Amino acid sequence: MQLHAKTVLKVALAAILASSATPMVLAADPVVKGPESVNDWYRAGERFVEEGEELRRIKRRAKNVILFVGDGMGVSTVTAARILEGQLNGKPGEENRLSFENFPYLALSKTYSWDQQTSDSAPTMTAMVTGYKAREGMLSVDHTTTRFEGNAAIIAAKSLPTILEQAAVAGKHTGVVSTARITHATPAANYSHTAVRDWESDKEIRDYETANGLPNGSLDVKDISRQLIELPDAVKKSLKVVMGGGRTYFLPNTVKEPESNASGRRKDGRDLTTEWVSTRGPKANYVWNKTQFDAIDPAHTDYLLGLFENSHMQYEADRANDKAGEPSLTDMTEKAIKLLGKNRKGFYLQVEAGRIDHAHHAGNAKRALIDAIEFSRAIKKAYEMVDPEETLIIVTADHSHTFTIAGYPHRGNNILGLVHDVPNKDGEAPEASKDRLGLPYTTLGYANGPGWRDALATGLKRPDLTAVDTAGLEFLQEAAIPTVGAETHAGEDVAIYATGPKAHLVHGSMEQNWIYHVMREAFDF
Amino acid sequence: MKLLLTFALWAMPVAMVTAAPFDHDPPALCAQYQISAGLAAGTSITWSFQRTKDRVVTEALGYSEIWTRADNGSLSLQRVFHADKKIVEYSNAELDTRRQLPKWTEVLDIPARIQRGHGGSRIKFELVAVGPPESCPTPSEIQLIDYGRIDIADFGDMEDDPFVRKVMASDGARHTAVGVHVHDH
Repeated sequence: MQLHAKTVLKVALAAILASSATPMVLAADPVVKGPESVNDWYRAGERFVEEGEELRRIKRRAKNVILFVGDGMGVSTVTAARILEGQLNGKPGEENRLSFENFPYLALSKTYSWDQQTSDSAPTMTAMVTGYKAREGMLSVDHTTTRFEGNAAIIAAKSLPTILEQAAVAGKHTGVVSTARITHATPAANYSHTAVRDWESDKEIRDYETANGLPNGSLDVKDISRQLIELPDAVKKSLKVVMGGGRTYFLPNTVKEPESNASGRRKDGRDLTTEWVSTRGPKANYVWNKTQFDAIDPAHTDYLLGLFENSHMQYEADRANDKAGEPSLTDMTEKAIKLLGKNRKGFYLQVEAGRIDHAHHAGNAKRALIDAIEFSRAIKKAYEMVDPEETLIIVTADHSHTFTIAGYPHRGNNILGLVHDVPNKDGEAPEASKDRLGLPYTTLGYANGPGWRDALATGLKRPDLTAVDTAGLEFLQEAAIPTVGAETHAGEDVAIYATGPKAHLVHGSMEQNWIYHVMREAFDF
Repeated sequence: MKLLLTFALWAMPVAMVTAAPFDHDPPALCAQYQISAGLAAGTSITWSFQRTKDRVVTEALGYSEIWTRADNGSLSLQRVFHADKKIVEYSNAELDTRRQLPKWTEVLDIPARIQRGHGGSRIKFELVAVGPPESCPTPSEIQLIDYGRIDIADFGDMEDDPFVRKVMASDGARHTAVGVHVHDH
């Protein structure tokens, strides 16, 4: 009998597969492996395609827009936070998803500013809330603004309207929440206009005059805290919720603030916390600790100013140790939405996780990642509280950091630990990977910053981390370059995640300022 | 020389790590140290150390450190640069984040003799007098109100500021030589 060529081939392949399915020597199970069946991932891939095919663009206008900004939350931070959150839940971690990673639309954001290849938070946030790229250190003023411009009329002429101000004019409620000082660059770009992001109280302006030989009071621009209180009428009426840190910038230097006993900063004698209450009607409140925060009933509150630290709020990792107690970012987000949601015309809310950036600057990855995880919780809470059919939620970062995830750690390797490779032989336990010096190294590191170890001073080319608790809260990941001061921002793109009305406009490679244009389109301004 | 001395003073809590802990509040006092080596011939510098229940203030050469303990035991530090009229502030968490959070007992301790060195130089502090806390030349609150205050967490966003650059340059030498490596081993 003559067999067909195809039949011959099939028989031969079957024989090969049968022989390979019966190994000559039984191998040990790999010690390192994921808990899932690979079929789980395969089926997940099929579902992903099916769901993608069914993805429905919500083309109607948005009633509400929430802009979440993780300050310094580059893609590597998202990845490491995702793994850490998974590992804290007893899983290998890599398969985990932060809440916003389930959003259907994603883009990359080009974060350079008008004059910076790698930007600071001022022009990046200005781009996101005004639609224009701007200059280093300036908040919501155009690129023709002179450095240290102190003339109020000029600043007024060069001011760029923000999405918050436009929402206010449209009759929406507005709010700003941050774990940084509420006068810090990211939150302040929503409501203030200045050539100098550091002019957060009048003291900084007066000090600038003194340092430059200018008469006292010759610069007539308003500091950022004062701008928050003396808003244009429509914005003043609209801005219902402001929560974050930075009490001393609102208090006169003649009084001590209640938690740390630090003096206020203001030289003009004004207590802007009491002015907030006195200028915003009978249902206005000011709170500065967790007990007062918890006592606020959104149903009976029209305006809420919360300043929970004299400077920035605590890192999430340290919040439980705060002397007076302070709410989490999730707590503040929830309270803000309850207050803003009372308006049938909708709201604009901007929420910042401001301390991811600070921990990275210090070269302290664990605090940065714990803050990023808390940021994800706040987003999850917001998503659960709003109608996703009428609320556009955008999650992004203003810029990245020089934070890296390196080596070939095995699945489930402690993201804060030393790198342990997949063993070369199944059945063997993983061992710490070694560099050319024979020393172990961590998965997480920085390209520059405080984590650099001085070889000249120590006599070691690298530290031996074998017995070091690299997962400790205070551990500083190694850095390659000893920058003069802090670890720096990085210039690569950051991600933008979106869900809700017009979220599909977030796609592809975007200039950072296009985020504003998406929000404006969603609001139909 | 001033830069080096500043570095040495800032490194003091690290130097005190081995000191015996107190089991009760130590007495309030002012201790005066004389810097007796590492300076030009005929030069004399006094370094003062004021200790009260929840506050320790050190001062020399226009530079002060003010350590404060809060009710809940958390520490904060103010580094005062008098010539610049600037204060750099550290919360408990920022000290920990930078691996510079000492135990309060270490802050309170006054060793009889301290030696610090860097780059081949050595500076010796000799205890020469102990008196009531009021005898220390510490900065007054009124004096400090007029000073600019910067949260250390803001340094990463203020690298263009001349004062911040100066402090970071000074601290860079201190940090990489003492802080990170010592704690790793």
